[in-house]
Amino acid sequence: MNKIFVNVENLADLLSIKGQYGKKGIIISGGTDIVVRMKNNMIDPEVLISIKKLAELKGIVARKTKVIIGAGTSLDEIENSTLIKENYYPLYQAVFNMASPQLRNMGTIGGNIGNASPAGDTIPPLFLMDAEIILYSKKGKRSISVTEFFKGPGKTVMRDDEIIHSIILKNNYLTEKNSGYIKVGQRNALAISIASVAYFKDKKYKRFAFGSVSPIIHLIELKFGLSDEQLLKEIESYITPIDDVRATKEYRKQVIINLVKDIYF
Amino acid sequence: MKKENIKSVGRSVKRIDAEEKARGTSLYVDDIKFPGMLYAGVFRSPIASGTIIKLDITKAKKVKGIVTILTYKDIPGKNLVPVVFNDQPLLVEKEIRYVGEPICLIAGESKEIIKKAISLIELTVKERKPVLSIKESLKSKKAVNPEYKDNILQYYPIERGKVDKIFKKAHLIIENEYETNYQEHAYLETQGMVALEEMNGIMTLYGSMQCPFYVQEGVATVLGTDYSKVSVKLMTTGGAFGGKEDVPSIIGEIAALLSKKTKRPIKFTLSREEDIETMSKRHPSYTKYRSAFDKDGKLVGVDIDYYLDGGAYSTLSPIVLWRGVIHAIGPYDCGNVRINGYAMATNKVPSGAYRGFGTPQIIFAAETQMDIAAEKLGLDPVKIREKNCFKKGSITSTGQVLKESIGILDTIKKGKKSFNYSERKKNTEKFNKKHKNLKRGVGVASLFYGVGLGARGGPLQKGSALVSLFKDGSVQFSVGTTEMGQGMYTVLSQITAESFGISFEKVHATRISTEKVSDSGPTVASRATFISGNAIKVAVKRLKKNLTEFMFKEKIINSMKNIEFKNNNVYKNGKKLMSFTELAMKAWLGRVKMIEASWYLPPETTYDIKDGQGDAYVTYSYVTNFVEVEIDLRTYRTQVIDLFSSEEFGNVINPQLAEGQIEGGNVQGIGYALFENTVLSKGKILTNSFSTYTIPTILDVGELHPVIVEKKFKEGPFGAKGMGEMPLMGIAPTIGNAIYNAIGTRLYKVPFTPVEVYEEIKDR
Ligand SMILES: Cc1cc2nc3c(=O)[nH]c(=O)nc-3n(C[C@H](O)[C@H](O)[C@H](O)COP(=O)(O)OP(=O)(O)OC[C@H]3O[C@@H](n4cnc5c(N)ncnc54)[C@H](O)[C@@H]3O)c2cc1C
Repeated sequence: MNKIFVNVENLADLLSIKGQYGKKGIIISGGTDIVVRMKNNMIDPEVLISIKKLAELKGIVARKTKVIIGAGTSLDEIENSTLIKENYYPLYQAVFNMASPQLRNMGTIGGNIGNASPAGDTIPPLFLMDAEIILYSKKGKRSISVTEFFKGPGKTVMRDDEIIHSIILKNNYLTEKNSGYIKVGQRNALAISIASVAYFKDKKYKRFAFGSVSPIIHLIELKFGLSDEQLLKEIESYITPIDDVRATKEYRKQVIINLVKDIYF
Repeated sequence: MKKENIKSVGRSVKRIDAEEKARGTSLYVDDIKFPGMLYAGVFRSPIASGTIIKLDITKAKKVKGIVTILTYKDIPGKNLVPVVFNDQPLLVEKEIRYVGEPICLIAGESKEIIKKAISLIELTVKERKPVLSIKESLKSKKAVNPEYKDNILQYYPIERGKVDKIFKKAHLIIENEYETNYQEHAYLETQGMVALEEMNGIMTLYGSMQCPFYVQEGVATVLGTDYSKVSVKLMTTGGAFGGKEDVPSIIGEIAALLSKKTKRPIKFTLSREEDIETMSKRHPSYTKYRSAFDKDGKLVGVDIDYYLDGGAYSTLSPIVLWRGVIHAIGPYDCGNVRINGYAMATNKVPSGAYRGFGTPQIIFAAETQMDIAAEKLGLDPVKIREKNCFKKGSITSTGQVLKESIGILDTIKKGKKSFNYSERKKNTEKFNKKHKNLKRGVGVASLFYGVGLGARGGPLQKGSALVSLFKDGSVQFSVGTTEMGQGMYTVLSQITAESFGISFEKVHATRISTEKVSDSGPTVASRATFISGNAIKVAVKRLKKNLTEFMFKEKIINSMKNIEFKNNNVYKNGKKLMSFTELAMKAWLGRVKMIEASWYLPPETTYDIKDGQGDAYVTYSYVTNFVEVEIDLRTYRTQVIDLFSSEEFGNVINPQLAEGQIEGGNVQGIGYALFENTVLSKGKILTNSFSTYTIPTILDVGELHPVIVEKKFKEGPFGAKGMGEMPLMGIAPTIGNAIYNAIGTRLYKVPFTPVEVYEEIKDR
């Protein structure tokens, strides 16, 4: 069987090629997820469509109260953006703690979202930002809230002819003082999250999103004044961690509880 | 004028391979290619225990690009991986004993083609219930291997003094059980070998290894050919840590068999996954440890049952166990000792050599016991070690009287001072009052280590060197031990230069090969500097004698007394005769013998196998570690803040390389203590990549502070002993003790992963 590798250079070409191959046409951006999966024989794509050269998908732009990040923007660029660091601190922290410098140069935010892992570090912060995922296809564009986008590990609402174009971030008041992203991995760098917490503290409520402890990430809003017990109950209703070679489910659960308590009280 | 004091030893000269490593130009096995070269692959057992009913390779053979597939029937010599007891076949004949055991060997045009062929091999087996742990092995009625009764691959006792009596009247008895998991060597370069028949039909192997002579034996054995028809040459070796002591024989045998059969060069290199799943690793252990103390805190008795999980074949387990048993009580003089050491057979990949060689497991138990005792006796953990540690004239658990170069007390004292022990302890207490979720603690642990192979090394305790002088006054040498990244080429170049009194730059180390020197045993047991350094000194001495006799014969000197070789010159009675270069040229013109092959035998060691008594090792090196850690009670993670490893290993040949070894070993020790956790299911290793088997990165190890104590050892080359392994060996108990100091929780199982810490404290 002949394998095809296409290097697209403009958005129109991308949409038409993706439209043509549909499910068979797999997008490769930084390749830091997909190449590993290919090496491990988990997938064997017939058609690889590289968007590495697609300038239209790269960059971070501010628009009034919003910021738009192109899906092809590297993690490194996000890490080094003062716009992100000052207004979307949890996303900055998430990216800062991802993988290693080499990986962050290659990997992209679109890839992290497209990979749709419950351990994907950019994802929980996006929930605090009421982010929208902008999808394009030959038929046009649509905008999906991040809370609707994921359907399970590796699963999203994206159609076979669609691509992620960009991510729109709202709530540009997430600063180092009122928000953050705590990642727990097996070591301080180059580690997949075992459990993670994105949080934002307001005068009226506190918002959380947890990584790696449920198949789908939820946005959790907690009012002030909950008792220890009530808090525990709330947390437990959102998490269904699993056992794997990295950690046990009991451990994952306890860590989330500890971290949330520490932030909440 | 240049100052005339050419010294090489004791200086941090630059590694001779620093530049090629930094530039990436070093040649590793995977960098070499020969015309017509094929690749090798292995079809392996998917189950841990069973009998082969049928093996069908017909479909696999038909894959385009497959050149040959071999089973045990195609081995022209013996189907054997020779190590100690010769119980391990290279290829399964009928009985399968572990997941990943080799069944067929495949040669093909590419690795992809081989992968395809492997997927087409059909294997029918009758599965048996496997024995998967030390405890199962102790209980199991079915033998993993019928050659070993009760699944005991090896047993070693030590019996000394009156153990039962002392336990009856002891002031304090501490009794605990300890467990440790596997540890991966995680050498950056996986196993690999290229084999081809070079001129005159000599089967030649280029490989990554710690003992070319083992590989030579293995290859000659499977090919059924003369040792002298097999030549093994060392490539740049990207780390080994014990993991390339015995298993490269397997790699070499496979490459050589396929090369012999196909008459083409064969490259066999392992992927990381295949390497982790099928190569040796540190033995898991289980220990029952009883210690008795008198009321002054003196260790008066120990009674230990020490079990190692050897895996399906004995490989190096007998020797690993022996070293573990000898070091089981630590660097302490204790008159009443009973140790029963067992290496148990299980249906798992054979465990083997790993930096520390059976000691880190038991040191973890011993030094945790010491800490518990200190607390119970109201003694400071440093004090109890000072009180009990070896002094001049102390007697080891094997009855060996220590006479010279005993640095343990110095390592404690210097380490304590550098670490700022008392102040730091106070500061952690202050810190802990201030922080709710973060807790800091300090820990200490001491150890000793027998340098070289020791009494059980038997015929392997020897070393040879080939040194040759050229007419331009430059020198080349080769030895039988290998460079694997530890810096041996550099250190031995320093020793050669110093022995000749010439500049380091004038000495050049050549590739290690079975063609140059005679079997010198393996490069293990922290022995290369000692053994090869002394072998070089013997050769240089002879060369200097040749030169001196020549000068006498030529009437350059009137007697052979008071001749000195130093500062690139030759002196008689303190007066310069000529430069070393001039002498070399004169000697060449005068047909002087300018090459010497030497032989060095270390001082005799003894050991009685019945009660474990004797002078087990020539000498010992010593370490005391101090660490400060911080535990996050929200995540149960432990972060090392500062680690001071205070070490005494005789005189230092190259301080910077020594510090490099200390830091590298410390990092591996931190990995062993906190991060590295092998997970298996039905005998199959699930953590087969660095994504799930986590070794620490530089962000995980805190600040490392090597502290070096020098204590001359007369028999050593320029006073050196050996030091490669100790930096790793005692890190786990040091950290465990610090965790206890921080949060009051004792950990009895290595590694102390966050999950393990959580399990221990959740019910408090
Ligand atoms: C050693 C290592 C460490 C890592 N550490 C972390 C970590 O700490 N945290 C973490 O979250 N991840 C980590 N990762 C995973 C990975 O690096 C990230 O998920 C990264 O963001 C993926 O981006 P990429 O551009 O390389 O994705 P790719 O591999 O190119 O693509 C990933 C998936 O997304 C799809 N895709 C990519 N772009 C688009 C698009 N524009 N439209 C539609 N689909 C698209 C692809 O088809 C593919 O299915 C690590 C990976 C490695 C190898």
